[in-house]
Amino acid sequence: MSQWQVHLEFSGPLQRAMQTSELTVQGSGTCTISTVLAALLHCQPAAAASLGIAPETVASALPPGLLVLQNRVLLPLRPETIVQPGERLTLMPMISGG
Amino acid sequence: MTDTHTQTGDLTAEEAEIYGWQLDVTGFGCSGQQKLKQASVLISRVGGLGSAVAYELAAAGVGRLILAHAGDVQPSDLNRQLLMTHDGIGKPRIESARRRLLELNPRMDIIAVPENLCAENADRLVGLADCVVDAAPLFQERLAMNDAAERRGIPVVEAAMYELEASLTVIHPPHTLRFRDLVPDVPRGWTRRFPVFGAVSGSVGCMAAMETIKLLAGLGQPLKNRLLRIDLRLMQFETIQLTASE
Repeated sequence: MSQWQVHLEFSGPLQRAMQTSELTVQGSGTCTISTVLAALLHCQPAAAASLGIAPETVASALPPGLLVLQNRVLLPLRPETIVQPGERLTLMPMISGG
Repeated sequence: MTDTHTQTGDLTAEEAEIYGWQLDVTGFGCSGQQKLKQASVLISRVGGLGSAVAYELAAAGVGRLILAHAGDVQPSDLNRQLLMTHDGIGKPRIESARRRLLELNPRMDIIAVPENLCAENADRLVGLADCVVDAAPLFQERLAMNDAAERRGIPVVEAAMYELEASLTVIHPPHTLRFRDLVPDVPRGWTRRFPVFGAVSGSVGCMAAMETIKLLAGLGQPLKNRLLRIDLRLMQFETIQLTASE
């Protein structure tokens, strides 16, 4: 089974929760948005959970309001969206401060 | 004595004098000013962000502002809510906002609503406006406002901030994606209290006001299907292309 790694950048409250602006996650098999988020959940369970990334839902639905960007383009908000190994993704929770 | 209300085109002489410097903006002119004068804009909350929006729209000559904001002025409002004043602490926010705006522009009409947007009042309030500006701190309010605006075909300037970051876009289905395409439901983890400098909310508030002016006057290219992402910690601005969900 092929190994992959994906570089993640965080913005807004996610960056604050993660206490870092970026992180590299690793996994094996097909690399999709849901498997990337599952890897993130494994690395930073409390921070990921604070944004609604939960083990029981990560394979079926993305957390509402979480945008996933690839090269400044919004990826389709589906768990099965393929991510190229080695890619850099930005995880951007929508914000609501006024 | 000069008659300051002598008509100059569609504007009074007083208006022509006050707005003279912006009348020179390419593509705006008297017709653009007249569009602002005839427009009604709803602003959901006049806190740190909405205060800046309201002040800039009042300065620009928008004819009517509908301001929706509940509650009394708190000491902790004063680091960012520029329409509130120290002597207004304990008094309704909406009255401070109205007073400050009329000091700047006594010619405008203000409908001051001491309520926050919610599912129950959204249709009524949105129905009063040609354009709405979303500056609310809670996603529940944003969803209610966008749902009502979509039903009425009214554009929404979506502005938000967090710490030293901000975002701005224009939602106007079917010309753009829906707000619920970005935020299908209330996200988990967002809290009512958020870290904020007034300079951040004010910065994005001014940009939201400019987007509103562009929409009303038909000026430039509003941020439709584009999300402006601002990071003032690094002073980086980037535009993200948005498309409707498949």
